[in-house]
Amino acid sequence: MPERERPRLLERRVPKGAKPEIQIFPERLLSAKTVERLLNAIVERVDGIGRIVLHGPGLPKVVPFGPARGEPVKHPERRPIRIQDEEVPMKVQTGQIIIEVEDEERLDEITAQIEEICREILPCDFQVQTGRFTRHRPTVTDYLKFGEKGVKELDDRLLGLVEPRARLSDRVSILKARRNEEEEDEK
Amino acid sequence: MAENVRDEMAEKAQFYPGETKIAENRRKYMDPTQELKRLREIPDEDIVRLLGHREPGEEYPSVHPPLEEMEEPECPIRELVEPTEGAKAGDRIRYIQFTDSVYFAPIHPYIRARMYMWRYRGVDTGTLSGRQIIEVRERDLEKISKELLETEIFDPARTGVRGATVHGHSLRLDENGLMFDALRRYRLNEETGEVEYVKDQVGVELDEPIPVGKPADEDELKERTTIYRIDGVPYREDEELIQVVQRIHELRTLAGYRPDEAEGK
Repeated sequence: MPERERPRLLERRVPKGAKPEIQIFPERLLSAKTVERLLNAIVERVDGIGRIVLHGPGLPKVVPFGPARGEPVKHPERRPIRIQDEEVPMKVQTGQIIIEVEDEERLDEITAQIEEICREILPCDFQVQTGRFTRHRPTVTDYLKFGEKGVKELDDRLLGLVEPRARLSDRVSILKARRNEEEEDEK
Repeated sequence: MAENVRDEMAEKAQFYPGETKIAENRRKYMDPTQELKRLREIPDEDIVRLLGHREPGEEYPSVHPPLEEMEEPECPIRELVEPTEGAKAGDRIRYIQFTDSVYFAPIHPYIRARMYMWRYRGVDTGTLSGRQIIEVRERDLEKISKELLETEIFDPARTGVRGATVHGHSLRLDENGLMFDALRRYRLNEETGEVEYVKDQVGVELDEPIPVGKPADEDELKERTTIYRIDGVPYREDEELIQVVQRIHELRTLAGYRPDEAEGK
């Protein structure tokens, strides 16, 4: 879609004390294969990334309700993907990718790099936006979930990554540091 | 019977206002005198398998004896209304449910409801946020489903037969152009280019896939759809439709708050 026809995106300001994020919003829901290629390219070619959040509609393992409740779904998109040497289980069909930028000064450069990778890999049109899309401060939910002590000890990069009821270990994959960097992935 | 009543009606049904292609499609789908264009063939047996209410070849289970064998109370309405085939035989009430993508699906829930009410007898239909159910006697249902699946109001990619877990009508399409389905009831066969159902409408796996044809391309869907969209035909471009909607709004408001002013308008 040409630039002028695109719907205007809501502005997402970066709050004080928070790191900026880059959002990739493709026109189609991405297959696991495309996401695998895209993430590998980003992790390999872009420096200064803190974490990557994959967001999209969930793919259930079994039929959740109705007469077929409990039957296996066997969705081909619900499968592990390989990012670098790490196996990451995919439980969603990706519709939005949020990348946290550690190195704020290089934000424009990183955005340009990511846009280029998207142009190369994505089979559809997409929009790249900068701002803040996940929360950066602990909320009541976190205190309930981790306790006061737990929140203090919690790595900032794990905040706002998963929904309150989900287990962190179910949804987060930690990728090995590359040149003293650590990257995380959330499903 | 129903046709006679319609002929005798004092007013001629106009079905839907509007000057655009979208309004024309809406009128066409609702008007029972217009035949829907048949785009594909699906064997009766496959439709029974897709619905999943009974095995193909199995007799129709019944909830009451055939009407002929029953002693019915004297009732003028019973004399006036001829029962449908399914009702005569005492069939169970069964359903088919559709999810229509916001991305130019050929038809969408509200228009489906109005179409069902105009075209079919003995049906109970329900419009929900992203799905449209039709409940009707089993053998009537199979006939109706055949028409709904084989004609132009069905598109294999943008319409889904979904009894449960219907989520997907307002989501972006998958990479291959199919509407998202968490239960993945259908897939695109890349060799034939056709969409195949591999599960029945509630998500039970089928022994053999049911091909339902090739998805239509975007331009064709834009011609067939009943959905006003900013990137297709926007609602605001249809002046006649807006006039009618505004008139109804005005009259309702006046009749509610200042009934004397609504008189004669």
